[in-house]
Amino acid sequence: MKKLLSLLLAVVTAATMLTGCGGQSSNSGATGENSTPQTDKKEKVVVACWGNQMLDTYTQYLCDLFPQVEFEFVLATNSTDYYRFRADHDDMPDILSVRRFALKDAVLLKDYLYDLSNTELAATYYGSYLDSYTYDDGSVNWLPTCAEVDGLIINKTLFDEYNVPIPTDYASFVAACEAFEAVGIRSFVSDFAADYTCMEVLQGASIPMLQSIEGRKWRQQYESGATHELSEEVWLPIFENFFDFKENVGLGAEDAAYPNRTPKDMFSEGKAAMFRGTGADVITFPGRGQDEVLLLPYFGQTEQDNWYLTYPTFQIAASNKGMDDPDREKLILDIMAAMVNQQGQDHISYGKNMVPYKKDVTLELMPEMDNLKPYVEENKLYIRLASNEMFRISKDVVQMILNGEVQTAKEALAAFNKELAGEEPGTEIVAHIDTYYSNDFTPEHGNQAASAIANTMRKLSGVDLVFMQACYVANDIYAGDYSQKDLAYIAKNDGGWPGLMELTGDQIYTLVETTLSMTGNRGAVCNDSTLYVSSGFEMDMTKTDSGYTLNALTMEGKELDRSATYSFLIYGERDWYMSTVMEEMGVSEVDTTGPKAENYLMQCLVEQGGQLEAPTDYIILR
Amino acid sequence: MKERKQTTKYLLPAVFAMIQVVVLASGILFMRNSLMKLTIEERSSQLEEMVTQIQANLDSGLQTHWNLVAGLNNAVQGNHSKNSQDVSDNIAHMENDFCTDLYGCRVMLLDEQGTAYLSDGPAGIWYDISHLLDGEKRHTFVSETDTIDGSFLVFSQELDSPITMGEDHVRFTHIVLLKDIQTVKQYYTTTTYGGSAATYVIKKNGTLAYFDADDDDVIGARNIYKALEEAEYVQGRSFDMIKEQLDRDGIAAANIMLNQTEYYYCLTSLDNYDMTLMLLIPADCVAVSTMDMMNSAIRTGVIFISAMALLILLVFFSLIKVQRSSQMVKLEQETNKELNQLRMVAESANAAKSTFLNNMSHDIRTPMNAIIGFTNIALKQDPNPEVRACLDKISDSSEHLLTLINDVLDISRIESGKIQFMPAPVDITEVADTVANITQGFLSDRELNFNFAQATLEAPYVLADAVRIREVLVNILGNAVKFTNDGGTITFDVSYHPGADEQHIVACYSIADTGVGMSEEFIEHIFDEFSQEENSARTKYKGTGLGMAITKRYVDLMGGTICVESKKGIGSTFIVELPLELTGGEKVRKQDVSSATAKLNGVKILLAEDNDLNAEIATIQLEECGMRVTRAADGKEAVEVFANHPAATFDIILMDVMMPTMNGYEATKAIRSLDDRPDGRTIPIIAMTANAFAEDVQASLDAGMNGHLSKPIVMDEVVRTIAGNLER
Repeated sequence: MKKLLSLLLAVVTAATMLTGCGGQSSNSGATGENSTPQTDKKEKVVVACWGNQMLDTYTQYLCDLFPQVEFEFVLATNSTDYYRFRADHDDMPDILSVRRFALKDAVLLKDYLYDLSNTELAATYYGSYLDSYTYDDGSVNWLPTCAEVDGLIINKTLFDEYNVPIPTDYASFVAACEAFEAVGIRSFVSDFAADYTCMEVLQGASIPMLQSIEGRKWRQQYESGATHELSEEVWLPIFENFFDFKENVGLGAEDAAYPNRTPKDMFSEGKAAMFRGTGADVITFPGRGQDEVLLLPYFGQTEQDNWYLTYPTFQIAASNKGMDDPDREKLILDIMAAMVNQQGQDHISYGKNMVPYKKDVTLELMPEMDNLKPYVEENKLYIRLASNEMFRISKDVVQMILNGEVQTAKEALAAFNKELAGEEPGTEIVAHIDTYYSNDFTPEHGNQAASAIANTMRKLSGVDLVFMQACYVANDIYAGDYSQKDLAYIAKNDGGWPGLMELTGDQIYTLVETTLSMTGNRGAVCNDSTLYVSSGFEMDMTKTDSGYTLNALTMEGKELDRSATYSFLIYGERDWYMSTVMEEMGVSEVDTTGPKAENYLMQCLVEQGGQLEAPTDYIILR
Repeated sequence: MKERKQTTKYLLPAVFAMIQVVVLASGILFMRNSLMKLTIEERSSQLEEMVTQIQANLDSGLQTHWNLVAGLNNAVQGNHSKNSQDVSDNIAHMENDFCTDLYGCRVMLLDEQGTAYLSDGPAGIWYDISHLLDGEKRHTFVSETDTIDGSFLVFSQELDSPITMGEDHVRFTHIVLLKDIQTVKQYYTTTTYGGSAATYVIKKNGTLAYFDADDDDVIGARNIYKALEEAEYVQGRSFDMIKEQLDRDGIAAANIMLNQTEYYYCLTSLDNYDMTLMLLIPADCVAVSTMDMMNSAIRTGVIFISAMALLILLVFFSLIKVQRSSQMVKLEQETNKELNQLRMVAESANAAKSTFLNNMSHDIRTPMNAIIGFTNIALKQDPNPEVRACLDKISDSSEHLLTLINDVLDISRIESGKIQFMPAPVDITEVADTVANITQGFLSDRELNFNFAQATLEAPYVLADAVRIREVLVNILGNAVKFTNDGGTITFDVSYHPGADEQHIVACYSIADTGVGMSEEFIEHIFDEFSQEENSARTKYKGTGLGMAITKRYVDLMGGTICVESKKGIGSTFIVELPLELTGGEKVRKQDVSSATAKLNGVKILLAEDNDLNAEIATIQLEECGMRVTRAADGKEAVEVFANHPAATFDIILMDVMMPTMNGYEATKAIRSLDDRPDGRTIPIIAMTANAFAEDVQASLDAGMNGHLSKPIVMDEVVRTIAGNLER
């Protein structure tokens, strides 16, 4: 009977369980426990920086905010194609940043990048901005930081001194140019040796045309890949405008060769009244020191046709590598959120000179940019068309115009379209590297990739010693074949300049000590990855809670002779870092016209067909 | 050894019993799974039907706005404004002229640079200008930009020829109607799910354009398609499958788990607008009645099978006993027989339950037809007062019973989304006249003042479902009569107002009474199902409590509104507003009953009807109109009678549908395809059946019939239908 009762109970139990049917299914595993074991080891995150502006206070800000993270900062080439190069070597950084950006170029990286479309981070952006980063399938890889504003920087004090009215449209701009030329002052100068200046002035002088319905239609077709040539209807008038601009401003072959610094120096010395620049330039180049400067728009035929040109200071993305680990995913997204939140953007924009894209960020415009406010309200901010080929070909064609190699708008248009239809230069294999060197920093060996390049630069330049910030080498040196373009990516960026000088041993001590104690400077050291690499001498230093202290400098194990004089090459940031350390060292003579790091790579590997010098153990970090 | 033998003896029946239990348990699981699958299909199907209806509403609503944009396009042609103030003034005039009745609309002009001009001046470059660059002339999308505060549904039209402003001849290329997205709500909101439905408008790339719901956004994502792709699907489906179905059929539904809650979603493409509409509803709110029925069936099945299992155990116990006594064999047989009977009864009950709803219509309406028909015939025989009083009571009770049946069926069908509206050209003023006449009929034994006033309407022809409108109004007026004491007043005011555009009007029906009124608490629930105010004053009024729920659903589904004001002891006022599309008067076919009746004298009818009572009623009533009737007892006989008589013996055939041997559909097809009888293809055949739903009407037409009459038959309708078909 007991067995019978047990069986009955079993049946009733089964029936009771079955009557529960029709309920909802459980969501198994949706809230899994975090089973990652706690370890003391820091989590490594590689951040590729688009420019050395990020080394100023931004990297330090990230280090302070995430003490549990071992950041590796590298200074990347400012191009989405650089990340294609790293993807080819299965070595994508964890967080990417780039200023030169076009969705048309970035789509090639889509398979390697994390989709941000449904993250809280994306939700903080204004929908209309986010739309321009959204692919056809709704995914979003890149998010912008605040907008850099580009226009004509004018020295208002100089205008007042010569009683020249401040321009309000193209006709008054031309009148101002004539007035300044008459008194021997260059009216408008710019660094037309730089591709971005060529592209921005070409587009800036004809924004009403580019923003017309026809102009917008053409751009949409170009960016979607539906057309791969400039439309005559839109672009012929643009080239006509540029020829007109060239004539009225008096641009010529000399301007085509101006490097980045020349026009700014002319402006700072009162020898030029206007130059093309950004909000950041307004802060950096305030005329003759006490002059009042203004950022004005690109001028159209009427005031209604005036526009500012803008672009995001930079965009960020995350590699999808490792993002299937929820803890890692959360960490990367937290870091990215910090990069673009109010604090992060304050570090980028100095809090004053840019326009935010995010709902939760407010950036105050400085007085020099008061003119901008009504343009922001009316949305008269043209976003530059900035595909990789636009930069390259705009420079080629604008320089042809300035050099008189093309005489008419039709010829310029034809030249542009011819290059668009041609192959991209620099893609054939030109070199082979036999040995792989890592750019991971270790206390025992330092950064071996950076050491190999510093040693190579020392050998080729013939100097006694080289001192270079290690993060200027952007990635591991991969063994294998290289095209010219890919070879340059190892150490190509706008921020790195060679500074050739004579230094005593004492001055070198001062140089290293100043560098290690420096904060808020584009050459500052914030962690191991941003330490400097030395060639020809060794550094013995100690890592402390507040940074690094120098113990000794040696040459082949013996202390550096403080009284001896050495030929010395500093490779790093020119305007802030180099000027600061030179002042500390009491050095005034420096030659910055030598080859850049990527030129040394070409010389060694392509022209001479050789190999990089072997790295040395240049550092003892205690 | 003896002990082992004893064990073996019990082992076999024990194993057998266990197998039985396992089989039964498996059976329960199988049944449960099958029913669950059916439930999901049914719920998805209901959702799809609902969304299809919403899509139709939305399409119609959006089209109205396109008509307005076309009007604006015409209005601005040839304009040249002196300056931006002039442009703003012109826009303000257009808003006054065109947008009065479309609350929430703004007009915008765009110049070649994308500068937006509004009635209050230029508003800078419009962020959404990029939407207009694909070469198409028209665009619809959701806009939420800094240029103009708010979220709008945009209707943008490239101007046929650009207009200019000022001496510089600034060219305006687009006219844009900005519709406040909140005011679009009326086109997609449904009360069917008790306000639990969330609406998502999704862009072509799968990202969210607009979200609307009373509660929070449970998906909480920008890329909706990606979120749906990553969601957990309950029935082994995937988003890829749903997307494929959406691309193929334009509509697809599935159930998913979100935040540990089951939801149903339904996607439907708004092809003309490059957008997709999604409804997301908690599973608990979808087809509640169907779910209750399914769960009830599952519980019944489980209880039944548990009882079976128990009985099997008893059998097992009996078997052991039988081992000891041959007499027990007989007992076992009896038990088995009893079990079989129990099973059969249970299965039969279950089957009957499942088919109850389907058969209710036919099986109850058919005898009701007989009761009402014979009562009417008897009333015409001049009975003595006592008999007449009895017949009147029978008639009243029958009609009430019919109302109850109809209400229960209607609410069930509305909930399942199967109600289909059949708008047809109609003189809308006649609808109100008819309702007023019906109401007068309610008042024959009451002492109530009934005031009816209707505004005149120059163009009274509209596309409307007159039957549903009549039902709504009669329901409200019927309640007014019921709940107003003798001596009270009922006022029925009908007015007509301009609609969204020149093609539309709004019919406004106001029904006020000085009756018992309602409490504030009850008014909040007046449109809920089975709601009747619990108080002594109202208990005397009979009803299902479904009337107002049905009324509200009908009004909602017709795109209209209903509101009520009431005070206890003072009275109630109901206001119904229905948007109606105008149509030409020539489309309305009218048939005067008296003239039609005159034309039917001598018409020869073949009546196929298996039910003797119904046949008798129909014959008497048809012959009273002068027609000659030949009856066939089923479909097969009808075919034979028609085939065996020469052409022109019959002018028309009235065909019941549900008949033994051969049903009405088969019989119709057989007559239509008689080889040697070309008149078989042309003779009018009218369905006369208790299957009264819209899909039944369609089935009749699909089978080759020319019309459809519902039982219980209404002679006026029969006369009109026969006359109409003979005139063809």
